[in-house]
Amino acid sequence: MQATAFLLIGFTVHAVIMIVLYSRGASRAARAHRFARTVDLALDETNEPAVTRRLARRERAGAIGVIVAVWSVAAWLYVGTDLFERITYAPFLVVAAVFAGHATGNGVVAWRESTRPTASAGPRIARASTPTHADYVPGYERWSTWVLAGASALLAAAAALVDRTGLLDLGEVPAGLLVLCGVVPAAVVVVDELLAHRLVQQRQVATTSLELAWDDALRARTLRDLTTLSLFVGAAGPVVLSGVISDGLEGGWPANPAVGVTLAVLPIILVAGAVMTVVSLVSNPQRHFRQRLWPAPVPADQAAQAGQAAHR
Amino acid sequence: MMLVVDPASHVPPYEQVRAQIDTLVSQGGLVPGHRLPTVRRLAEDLGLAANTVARAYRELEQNGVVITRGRAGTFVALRGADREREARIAAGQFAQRVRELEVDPVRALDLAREALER
Repeated sequence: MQATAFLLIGFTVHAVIMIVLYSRGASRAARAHRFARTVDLALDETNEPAVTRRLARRERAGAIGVIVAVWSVAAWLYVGTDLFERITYAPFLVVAAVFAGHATGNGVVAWRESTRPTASAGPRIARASTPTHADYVPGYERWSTWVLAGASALLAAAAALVDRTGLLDLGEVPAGLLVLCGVVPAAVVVVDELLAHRLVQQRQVATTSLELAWDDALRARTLRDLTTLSLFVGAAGPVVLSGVISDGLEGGWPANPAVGVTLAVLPIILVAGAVMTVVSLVSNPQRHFRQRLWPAPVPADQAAQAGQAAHR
Repeated sequence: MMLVVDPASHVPPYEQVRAQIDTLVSQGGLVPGHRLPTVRRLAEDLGLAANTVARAYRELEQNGVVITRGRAGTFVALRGADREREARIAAGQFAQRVRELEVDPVRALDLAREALER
């Protein structure tokens, strides 16, 4: 319970700090410049106000989403029972709520921004191709969501099979948890893919190449937020399932082989997570959209040049 | 590859879209088989009516620059030199495979002729 309460308060405080930081002019400009360096896009006096405003709006909405999500989970855990005490793995729910809340807040703003009106005067720019989800989120991240969801479903199916056949004594295996671990990670990935597909299909309003590149940068950030939620839920499924089964087991390894099997899951997930982290650090996924959509430096005034060409 | 529409230009928007795609294709910026955005998506991105973009695509199709494959979308068409080049590549691949299979060249040409006449 203490860990859950600590996480609830910690994430809430962090979200409030984010809201404050992204509401103050100097602070949000500094954060926008940091993001610009991460994605290697220019942030000059012409585009800085708009980019800073859009980034701040997303981060504030994400922070509000976090607060709403974690306290919704807290309220659900507390509802008139001792559920809070009984759920050992409640911290996983809280962290999942953080990712879900942030992705939802960010996504709602991204969706609303895609419906903003086109500039009435001046040139407008558009791509002569249609980007896909793969242009914004690296393939290894997207595939990892399916691998983890598959691993979770496989583990749930294996646990159900072993429990049914009595191959190993797994103690009391909650049937509800088996269903949750088998279905929820896959369902989250499917929803992530569907939402991402819809968001990528939304229009992009821009008057210069740089503005379009910034729209891609913000879109990639939102889509990767959604993927992070899928990754977390996919990794949490096997950990929670093996943890719950392990908690109900008696004796130790090697006397009880089931103990060894369940305890092996956590290090495997940790190693997979470490590998993923190293790959992320090396490949710089924040710039993935640059490699796919903007391999060359982005010109700031392409629309103006092309607009002159259109006049001729 | 970017398309730009200037509403202040004396050139109608559909013509701006048509001319730019035509230029990009002829300069090799858009290669044969490249899928163009849907009419609706491009119209929304450029703040134009869907009919405007549809007219540009229609004219490009009439000129053989693009080809519409039903619901699959609109693609840059093979034309002139592209067609010749692609056919040459296909012929090279055919010849390579025939050599690998150790088929007599005369027989291979007969088979190719049969396939073409089917």
